[in-house]
Amino acid sequence: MTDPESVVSPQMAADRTRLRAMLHRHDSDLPDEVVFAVIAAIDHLTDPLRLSEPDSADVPGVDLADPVGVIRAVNARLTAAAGAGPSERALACAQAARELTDAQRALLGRRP
Amino acid sequence: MTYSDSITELATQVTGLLATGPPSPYAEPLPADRAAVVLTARDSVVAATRGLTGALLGRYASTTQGLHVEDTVNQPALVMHSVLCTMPNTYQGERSSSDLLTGDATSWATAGRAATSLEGYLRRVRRLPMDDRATALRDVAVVASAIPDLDADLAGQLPPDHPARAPLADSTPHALLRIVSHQLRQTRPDGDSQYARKLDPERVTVGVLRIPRDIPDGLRQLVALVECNGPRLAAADARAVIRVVATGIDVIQPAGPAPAGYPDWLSGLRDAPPALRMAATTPMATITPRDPAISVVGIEIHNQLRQLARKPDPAVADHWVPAAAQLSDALADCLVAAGRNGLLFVRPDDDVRGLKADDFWMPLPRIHAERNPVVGAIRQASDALNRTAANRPTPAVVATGAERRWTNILTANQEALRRLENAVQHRVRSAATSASVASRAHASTSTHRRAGRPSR
Repeated sequence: MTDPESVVSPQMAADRTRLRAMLHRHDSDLPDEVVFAVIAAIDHLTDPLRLSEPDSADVPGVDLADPVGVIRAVNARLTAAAGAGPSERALACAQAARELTDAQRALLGRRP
Repeated sequence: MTYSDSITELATQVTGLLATGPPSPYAEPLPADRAAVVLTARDSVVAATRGLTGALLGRYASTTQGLHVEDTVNQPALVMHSVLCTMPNTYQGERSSSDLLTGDATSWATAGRAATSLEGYLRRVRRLPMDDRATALRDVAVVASAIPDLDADLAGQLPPDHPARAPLADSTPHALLRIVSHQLRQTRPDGDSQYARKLDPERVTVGVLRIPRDIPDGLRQLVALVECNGPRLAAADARAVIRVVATGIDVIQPAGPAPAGYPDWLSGLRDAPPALRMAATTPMATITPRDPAISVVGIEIHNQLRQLARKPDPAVADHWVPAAAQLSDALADCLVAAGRNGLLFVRPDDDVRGLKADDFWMPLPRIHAERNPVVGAIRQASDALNRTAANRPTPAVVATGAERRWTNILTANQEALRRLENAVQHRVRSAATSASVASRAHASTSTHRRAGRPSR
């Protein structure tokens, strides 16, 4: 049921860090459309009433070289987390996942 | 199933469907039998949300009479119930919902079954204590928040001539539902109102955009909303506004060749996207709640921009550029005000006390409010937009162009009128000639008849 205390779970925070690190790495080579969609997803994974956890430019165990791979993996986790009952967290995960679906489509559509 | 099981199952399926995202534009439309299941399930979800909201409010039927715009903030549950009551059923077939939903393991059918089972709890829900009702309403609001996007996704999956497309794509109830469900989700059972500031009578109302030519109106609404939030604008909302402007430029003046018919003066817009991108990617944080109205108007504008991308209309650009420039200016001013009020957090430029800059946030020093890199980037984009707006053909030129067009139209009309007059005169003359021939013939016949008539 609804948890009024925290909107962002540790898992969501970890995914936000991955997305931010991926953006940091690929800042210059991603199309604007993708960058804005990923930023919107990051904002859905951020509690508006709290300062987010420290982010790192490098995430151990995550291959940041492939932006599509990072987006796809995070999207899959968020989609799974979206089905967690009537909570703000689930809704935030669902909305972030929608943005990442758009980003993924835009990236795959533009690939040669 | 218990109430908790049912509402959890419903929310699980609904948020899962939401996460799946909009249908691919290349996907085939749903076949009729699948559409029947999905639409029935969707109707059950809307009915359960409506029934539960009504039960929690102690209402059976709804009317929008007596409701005012400010009630979207003051009485969001009441407005949510009214809006849900205006949403018609989309399945018009003859099969029953139990027939369609039983034995189907898809997400929509599961959501439909969970929704149907919730209707068995309406009587008990009405007896809940007040505090529990607030919590229950928030759970219902989570499901209701998903309905606008799910309806839009469904509309995109149906064949173009399907009768359910129109109600599913009707933007007015969906925009309202988006706002009020968001308001409800912000409430707290202990009466703590994070949204109390939004009870301000100066609150800006949100309109619905119906066609791409409404986009500049949407931008002006955003200007009003940004100014209304003032220094308390959330960083995420600022980025959402930046995205609206960047997406608009991408549609009106894409990086590749300009769409046919778009005038040259728009080429100056190409200077803005790099600055907007920098503004969106530069770390900046706030600890203020997001304004649901900004995201609603943003979604409305994005939807219309998608239409515009499919069918370019140069007339939109005429009003879009000055409105976007105004929006960028308002946003920059707002962020400066936030900085002056000590409400913005940024990453420090240099390492402080041996910590890496990425490791923490620091309040932007008030004296540096104007030097905020995000503000600088937005001002840069705003300059490009204002320069482009200044390069628009002047009203005199436009008037001359318009006069020329009117003169051409007038000349063409006069020419057509002259031809018409000639044609009419010709026809009148022919008719007169025929009439005189006929009357002569008639007279001659009468004479012959009279001549041939036997005398009495």
